[in-house]
Amino acid sequence: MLRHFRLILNLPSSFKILEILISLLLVSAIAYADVCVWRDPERTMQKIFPQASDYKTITVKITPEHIKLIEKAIDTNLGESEKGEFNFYDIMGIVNDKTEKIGTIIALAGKGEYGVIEVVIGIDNKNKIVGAYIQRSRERVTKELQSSEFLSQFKNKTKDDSFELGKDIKLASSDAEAASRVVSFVIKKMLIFYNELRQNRE
Amino acid sequence: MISKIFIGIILYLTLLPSFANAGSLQISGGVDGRYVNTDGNENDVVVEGLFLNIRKVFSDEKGDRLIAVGQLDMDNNFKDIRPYQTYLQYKGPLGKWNIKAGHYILPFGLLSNYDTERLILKTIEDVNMGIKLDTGVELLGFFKDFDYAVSLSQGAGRNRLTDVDNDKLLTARLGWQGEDINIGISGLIGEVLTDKYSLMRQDLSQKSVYEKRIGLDITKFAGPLILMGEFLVGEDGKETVGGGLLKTDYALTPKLELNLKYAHWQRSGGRNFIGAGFSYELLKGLFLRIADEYQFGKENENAATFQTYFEFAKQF
Repeated sequence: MLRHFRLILNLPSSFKILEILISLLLVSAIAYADVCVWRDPERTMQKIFPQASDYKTITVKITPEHIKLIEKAIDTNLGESEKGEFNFYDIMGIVNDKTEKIGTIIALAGKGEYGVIEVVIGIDNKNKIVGAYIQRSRERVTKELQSSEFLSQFKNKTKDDSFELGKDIKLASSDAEAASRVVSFVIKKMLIFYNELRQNRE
Repeated sequence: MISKIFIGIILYLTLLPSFANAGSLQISGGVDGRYVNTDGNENDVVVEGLFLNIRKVFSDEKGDRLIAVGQLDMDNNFKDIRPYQTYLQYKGPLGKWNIKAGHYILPFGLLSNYDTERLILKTIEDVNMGIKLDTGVELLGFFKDFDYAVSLSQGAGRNRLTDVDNDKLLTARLGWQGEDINIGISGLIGEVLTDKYSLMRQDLSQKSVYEKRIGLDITKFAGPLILMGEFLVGEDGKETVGGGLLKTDYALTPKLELNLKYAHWQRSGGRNFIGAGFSYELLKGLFLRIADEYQFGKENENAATFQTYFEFAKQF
């Protein structure tokens, strides 16, 4: 039984709170986006590109034209949170005593059975996959998804290759059909994003 | 005054002419509203916090070089307007070493990688150290599977820029990261001016104390299950103190998570905390959380909390 009810808000502060909440909602209405914050990416970068000396974050604004091209290429609609901007990480290395771009790291999340599956790929300057890595997964089949047997299948693939599950890409395990499909689709999607947002622009 | 400084920093970061090539600018924010029932007879409705965070990366021709972070929190129904993490970080090649200067979360135990500021079931720095953020300089980075962080700070805590006793606080952590496990050992030594609302100050009945701590923290990822633990021992002045925390997050579905917590802290008597709750992501970025935490031992208290939490982020 509740003996008393204390509402901490007093009237002046309630107006202040309301004002700030409305401002926040207005800001969020235009600013809301599912920014995949990859705050500590260096270790993964070095796993994929052992010769990396540094990296540079490149943020590309996604235009309505990009959205049309990407949706056509992946044959599905992008989520609202995917239509804002996209980050690429250009990997720098020493080539002939000069610091040059040796590849690009791309990260994207797909929706798994137990939350997001965050996938990272590295591509070389010819846009071929150098390596793939599962950055975060809470699936029951996470170990199978992380296995080199599964992830090495994506090596050397480009956006033009087929990613058909069971044919081009073997399942991570017999229990992992849905999760394997998510990873495979997300990797293909990242190659399409790169092609439309960077390759066709450069 | 602090909010004016923060707004100044935001404007400076936004309008700063390019360091070399201005990199990405991210603005994020959130609001944390709660209803708390304490011991079945006291009910509070509170805007626990509203925050705005700005993060900007500056690059040169070789890579990302400088990261600037600023965050302003308005807590406890806007009574406490204060900066949260606000710092500049100079990044060495591939982040193998970094120098951070400003106001940041101390690199100690689980705190290094896990911030529970906007969660109901929190880690135990409030009763263990009485400090979470501090102003100072930190060296951090990684080498192969190891990561390291060493911080020298004021020991004056959150929202205090001045050192009250001219003593310093040294905090360090060495971690090892496996495929699905993180293990770290941490140390802390120095004079700490404890947070005015902290259980630690309540226990000590004094504002500051010379603290020594060593700790072991473990985070294990096992599919839907994340297990976290930290075990700590040390001294407050001449008194031996110690305890630990076990926390579990279990994803029941993509949107629903079960959270469990047990913590114990021994300082002139023991405090125990048992908590359980659920977190549900109603819409993208909008979370509904409910949890009950029961404290027993030195003090008995039960707090049932319902939280609505919304966060957003945008890159430019």
